[in-house]
Amino acid sequence: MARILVLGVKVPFTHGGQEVLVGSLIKGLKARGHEADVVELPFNPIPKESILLQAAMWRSLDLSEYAGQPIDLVIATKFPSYFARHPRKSVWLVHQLRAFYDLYGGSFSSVGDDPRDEQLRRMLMDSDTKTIGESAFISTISKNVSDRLKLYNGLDSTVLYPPLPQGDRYRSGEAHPYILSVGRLCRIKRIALAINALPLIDSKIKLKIVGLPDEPGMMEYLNNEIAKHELQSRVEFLGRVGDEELLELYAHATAVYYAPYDEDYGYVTLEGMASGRPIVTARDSGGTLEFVTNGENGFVTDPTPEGISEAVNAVVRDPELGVRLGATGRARIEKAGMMTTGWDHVLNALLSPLETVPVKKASQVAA
Amino acid sequence: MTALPSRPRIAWFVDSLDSQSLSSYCSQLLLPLLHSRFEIELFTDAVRLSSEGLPVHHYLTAYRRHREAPFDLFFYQLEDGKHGRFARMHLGLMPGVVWVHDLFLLDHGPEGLYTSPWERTVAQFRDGNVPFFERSDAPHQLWPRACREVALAPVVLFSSRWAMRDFGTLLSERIEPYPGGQRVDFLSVPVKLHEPAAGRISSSTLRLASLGTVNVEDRAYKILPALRDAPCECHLTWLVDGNELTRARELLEEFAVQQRVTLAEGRSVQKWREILDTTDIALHMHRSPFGHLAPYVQCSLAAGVSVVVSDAAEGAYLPENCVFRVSPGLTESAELKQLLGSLNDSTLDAVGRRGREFVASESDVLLIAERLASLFHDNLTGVKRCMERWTVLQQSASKVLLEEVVGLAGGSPGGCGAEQFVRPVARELGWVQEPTNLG
Repeated sequence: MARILVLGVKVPFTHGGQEVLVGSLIKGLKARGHEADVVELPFNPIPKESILLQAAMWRSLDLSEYAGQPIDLVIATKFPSYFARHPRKSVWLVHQLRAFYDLYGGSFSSVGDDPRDEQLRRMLMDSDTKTIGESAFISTISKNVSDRLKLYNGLDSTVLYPPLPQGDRYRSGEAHPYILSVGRLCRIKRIALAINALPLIDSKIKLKIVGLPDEPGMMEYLNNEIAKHELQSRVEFLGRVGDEELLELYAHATAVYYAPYDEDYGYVTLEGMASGRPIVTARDSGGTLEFVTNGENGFVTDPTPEGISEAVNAVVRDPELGVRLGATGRARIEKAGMMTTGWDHVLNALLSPLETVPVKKASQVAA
Repeated sequence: MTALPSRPRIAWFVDSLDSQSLSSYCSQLLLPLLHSRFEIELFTDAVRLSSEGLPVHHYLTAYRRHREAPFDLFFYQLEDGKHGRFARMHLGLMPGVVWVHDLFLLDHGPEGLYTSPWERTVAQFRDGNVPFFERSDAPHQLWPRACREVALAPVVLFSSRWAMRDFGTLLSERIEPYPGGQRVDFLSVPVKLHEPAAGRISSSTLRLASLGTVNVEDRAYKILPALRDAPCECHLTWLVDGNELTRARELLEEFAVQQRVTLAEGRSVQKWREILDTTDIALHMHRSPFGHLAPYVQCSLAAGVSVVVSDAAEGAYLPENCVFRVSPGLTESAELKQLLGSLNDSTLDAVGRRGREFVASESDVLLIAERLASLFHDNLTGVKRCMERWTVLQQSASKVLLEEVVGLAGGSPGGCGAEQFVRPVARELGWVQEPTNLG
């Protein structure tokens, strides 16, 4: 039995894939008999210069022992948790600070050409390369994240897809007239795209949205879009829902909409597939494309209201198509073992430094 | 004095080597002629780039590559449109030689430039005592002209004489550029010369070709009535993109010229060259401050095909005796009609020949490669000085940034937070590059 710390990063008042992943990982570690706990620090990207400070905080943590007992392994997840030092650092990378990488310069980044921003970017890229590179084991949650790590930091990594958080509890039921959107309400998740597609979708279909806003003004923006198209009766915000309710919502959705911009991984895609639903995603949705094949288990469309509506209307017009696509998705998840045995190989890999790295003081690693 | 490198290292920014962009076109032609004389590495925003055997990197790693193996010069092409955004962004991160294909930009650029402090950056570049902006005072930028992009470059090359004139008359005094003196020069878009196709096959039908869009700037609504009313047999091959086909067909119907026009699909240099083989007159009547005639007009001239341009914007800068001109506006269609009726074989041959001679003297790819190589060599010293000065600005930015971080950590540089963790981490991770009040 080992003493293991999972390093999480908490954005206060939000709940997303990272929290689900950390919770599931802890559960998996404990199931194997390890003593596992979470270390979290809050993260705030504003002001941007404070990002260095937050990275420095993680770097300053001594996680080699607690209360006189050694910590055998740490598992870092997303920026800046991997800045922490430990001789047996395993990285399961959710994502880096994307505003400085693939989102750089665009509408999802506040980093510009101010020379201070550029120095900040260089410091973070170099530090990422060093602090991830020094790890005993480097993995990521998707091929998309691994590709970015190779492209920008020159680091190789192993892809370990996170198994589904609710294991084998996903079920498939009769389709009810709604599209389901699950996820934090922020611009990059493109909830507004689904709302704007709704006027072009068969009028009996509603949009159910699970998740809470985590950007200022987001609810006002979405409500404005709804009012603009007079969709008040067709859109329902459900906020955060319990596990059972979520399973039920998945089970009966006509389609699951998940078309964020260049997603890292996207639990929603897999949960939708496990629930036997057709997935509607977009060509530029990143990690979701590792699982959704157009016409086989869902739709990969242009990120436009026309593209999304065409996909949804196809399964509304032909419910058998929806059933077929959903069944293919479910079969893929079952075949990959993501509902049942998926944790074994993930944990084996993440824990591999316990076998391969002799114990030494964290301070020796820092040197 | 440091000796100049015999095979200078060039960081060459290009969106792709197989796209329809002008940057891509120029790179495809020039790189094979330059790579033996320069050590060229490509930088792009594409994940994959066919690199013709040259090393290729993501542009956001350019600073790291420059640190590992310093470049003597960064080379950018400035072009309107999304594909050119990454180069626009980066030329503000590392100054270099900028080849301007578009001075007026419809594309606002990446959002990161909307609050670009470039005017302050240029001022700091000139005078190291100018402070950085307060973070909350970032300016709002929405310029249609590439002021920032040319202001930050020690060497600016224009591929259009018209844009170069506009730069001289409208911008050069306003932007207060690089203090060591900015070099401004003209460098045409290159073209491969090849033997023109055999003379006109049919003397009874005038074969016209156009590749304008269906938009008003490309004058289809002037060309089509002229074609309809021309006092001679004419046939137009109109090269459009697939997404313009419907609108193009509507225009043909509107002007009742369906029988006189063949629509060809897929605008590309290759396709245009094929069309030129059976063309007597190429219509390049684009008239707008945005966009450019290159490289298609050069291709037409190189093929010895007579060219018609608008007597405005870029077209006005082609020599009088090498092209036919029509005045844009009310009389445009009538002038074109009259011109078509007045042409004979010998006139077409003479203008086509002179056009080819002109383009051979100004745009031949061998000549342009030679000129660009000379420009690189001639400016190595100046660019090096500029880059050294830029490095000082970067170090200053680093120092200010770390002071901001220290401030957030608990006030003064000697404060508890700074002492306990910021300083050691900054040293360990290389955030402190030179002595500052942190170190």
